[in-house]
Amino acid sequence: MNAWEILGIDPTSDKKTIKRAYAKLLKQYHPEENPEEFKQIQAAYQQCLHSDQEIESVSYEQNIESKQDIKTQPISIKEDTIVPPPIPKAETLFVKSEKDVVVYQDILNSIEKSLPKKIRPKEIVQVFTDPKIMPYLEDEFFCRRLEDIFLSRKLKYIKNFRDPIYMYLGKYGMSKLSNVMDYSNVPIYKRPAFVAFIVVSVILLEMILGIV
Amino acid sequence: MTILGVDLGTTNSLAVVYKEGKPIRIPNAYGEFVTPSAVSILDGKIVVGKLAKERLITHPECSASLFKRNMGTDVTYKLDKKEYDSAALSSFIVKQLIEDAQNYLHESIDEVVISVPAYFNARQRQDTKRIGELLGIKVERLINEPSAAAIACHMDDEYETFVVFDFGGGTLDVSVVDCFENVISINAISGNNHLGGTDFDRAMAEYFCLKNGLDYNILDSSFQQSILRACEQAKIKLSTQNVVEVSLVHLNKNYNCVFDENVLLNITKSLLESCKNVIGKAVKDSGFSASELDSLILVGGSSKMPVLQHYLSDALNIPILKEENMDSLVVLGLGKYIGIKQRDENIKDVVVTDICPFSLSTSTYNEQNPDLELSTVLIPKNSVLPTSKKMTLRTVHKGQTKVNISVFQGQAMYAKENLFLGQAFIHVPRNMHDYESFDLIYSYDINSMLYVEAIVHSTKEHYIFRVSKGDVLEKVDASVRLDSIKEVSLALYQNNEVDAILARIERIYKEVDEETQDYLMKLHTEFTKDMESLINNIQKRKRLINQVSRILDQIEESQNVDQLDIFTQEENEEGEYLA
Repeated sequence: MNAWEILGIDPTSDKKTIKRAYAKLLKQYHPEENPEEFKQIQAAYQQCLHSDQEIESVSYEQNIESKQDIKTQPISIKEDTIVPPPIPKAETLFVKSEKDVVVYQDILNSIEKSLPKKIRPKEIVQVFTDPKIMPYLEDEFFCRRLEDIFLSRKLKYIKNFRDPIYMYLGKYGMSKLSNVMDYSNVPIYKRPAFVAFIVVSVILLEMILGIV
Repeated sequence: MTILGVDLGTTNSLAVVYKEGKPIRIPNAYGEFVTPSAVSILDGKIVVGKLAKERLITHPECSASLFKRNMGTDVTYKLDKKEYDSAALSSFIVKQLIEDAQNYLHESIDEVVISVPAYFNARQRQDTKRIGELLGIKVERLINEPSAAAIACHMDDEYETFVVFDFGGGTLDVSVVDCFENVISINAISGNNHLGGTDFDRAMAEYFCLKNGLDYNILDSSFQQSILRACEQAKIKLSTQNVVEVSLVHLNKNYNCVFDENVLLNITKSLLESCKNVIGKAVKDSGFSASELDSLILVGGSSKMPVLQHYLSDALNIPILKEENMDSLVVLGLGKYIGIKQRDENIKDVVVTDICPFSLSTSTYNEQNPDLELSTVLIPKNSVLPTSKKMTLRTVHKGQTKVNISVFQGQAMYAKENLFLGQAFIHVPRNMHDYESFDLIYSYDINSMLYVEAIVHSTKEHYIFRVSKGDVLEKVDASVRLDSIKEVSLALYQNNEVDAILARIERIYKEVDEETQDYLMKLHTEFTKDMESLINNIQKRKRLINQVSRILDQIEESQNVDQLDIFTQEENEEGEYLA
């Protein structure tokens, strides 16, 4: 026995008809005296009243017509509650599929080609601000690969610690690159030019002293 | 068979019977309909009503009032060296009302129906019914006060759908009622049991202090009381006058302050907004749109405030109706309800269907954190009574022989934040290879009685329990519950951002429908898991946090009651709907 049969009416979207049938049954089966029957009637009433929302549970062929009616009906509050978006998982948030990696690879290759052997901060900033590349920077995987490309080049040190490149390096988490490029953080005696100068001058001195 | 209806109020009580096709209020010995809810002991004898109220001032040590607030708790009042609890004190009042009725009607009373606030929890309802046991009279049925008011508002057998706004001294109840073909169907009840006229007095008192360079919170209590009283007087005067000046003398100093409706509107803005939100919540729960609602009916003493009436008529898209006898609407509805219950010839055909204003749930095992049990709702709130709901559950471990079934009221995420109603154990056969499953059935009947049944699938063993007063393990009220939520999230992580998100999920959880609740529950577990695994990856964590909070924004936006079409939108502020 389906809900419509319990109420004793044909399927309808007219609330007044449903309510009238329900009211008639309630007078026969008063909730005071017939609690069990009342529960069934009540359940059927709710189902019929909200039948437009649960149309899938009724067989499809029977209800093609009523289904079309329903689309033109105003949407009740219950119906337009939001459809929850899929739950983001740490893994699915970021690129996993090979197809995406291929797209990345193309972009990365073009960046690699366009970069000179020696790169200055200015060129790195250019890459970061390129509108073609910018959307991909949202992805961490892409950032790591880009960092590797930068690291494979000869890098010029950053002289000014207010250089705009720091903003980008921080934003995309390229700490390795920033360490390598950090000029002010390297003590003067560790800088290759200084070390080379000392070594050369020591050798020279020794040679001069040796000769003397 | 004569049934007496008792509107057992916090400050005043009334009695009513249904005779000759209409509700008749019972006058007491003084010829008044209203009997103050006060009890006092005079020469070893118990007196109630007006006399007890007088003795409250002269003999406070052997008098008590306002005990309805402690219904369902273990708080006792000491009157003349003897201890009484709230139910006992209330029973003296009911007894007096029964005697008054018997003297007035010259008939014996067989049964009493008592009206209770919608937000009385299952425990408070049990305690109210205990009045019957104490008096040896049948007290089987309780009726929600907003439902009673709704019955009184419905006049003839018209099709109408309306909102009842019952605003009393300390509580606000809003119910949505659908009437058709002599059926009065309560569709949704929402409320706030800590919002009432006294909050308006308090806001006025604070404004008074601000104007006079005082700090309300550090004043001595007698001065506080006199300010409150003066503000209450001013509030009442404002119903008839436009401007009221409050002046007080304290320690030879004069304090003055002028109140008018604009001032009142500004200082009580947040309270008025809470009122609006409660209406929005009830309408949303009921599933009706503004076009289907005919009117909003103001009930209760605090609804008389013009500031509230004007605010609501500006904020709502539906006409607002004022009942003539706002104060006695509950008792008149109660009288009508008794007629219906007696199957009186005059209103034999009327059927009232009431709902359960709260959710009833059980606790289930939490895989994430075994110490923190989750709550699973069996009977969602606003279910039509009587109702039964079934759910199939299984044991946590293989080989388990004993299952603890705990019954809670409320729909918070974690079981312990809900109100505990009782617990019982059922036995299942030891099965080392598989989990044992059983059906859990909650039945909440028309007499506010909750039955819990469990049927074990393998043995077909059938357990039935009844929730009664004895099972009290701990009592949790609203203020303690908020603290417990904070504690929980702090214990999980020492990370403010993550905490904030988790707390937010928990907060939203209570306000949304079941489908979204399921989703939020999943989100909560996934998020907790991910945050644990990503403990060292700050960048990923940040991104995930952003994403989740964006989703929560969306959910919250869709829950925002401001968007309901019952409220006036910015564009059509022209006031064409106003009553």
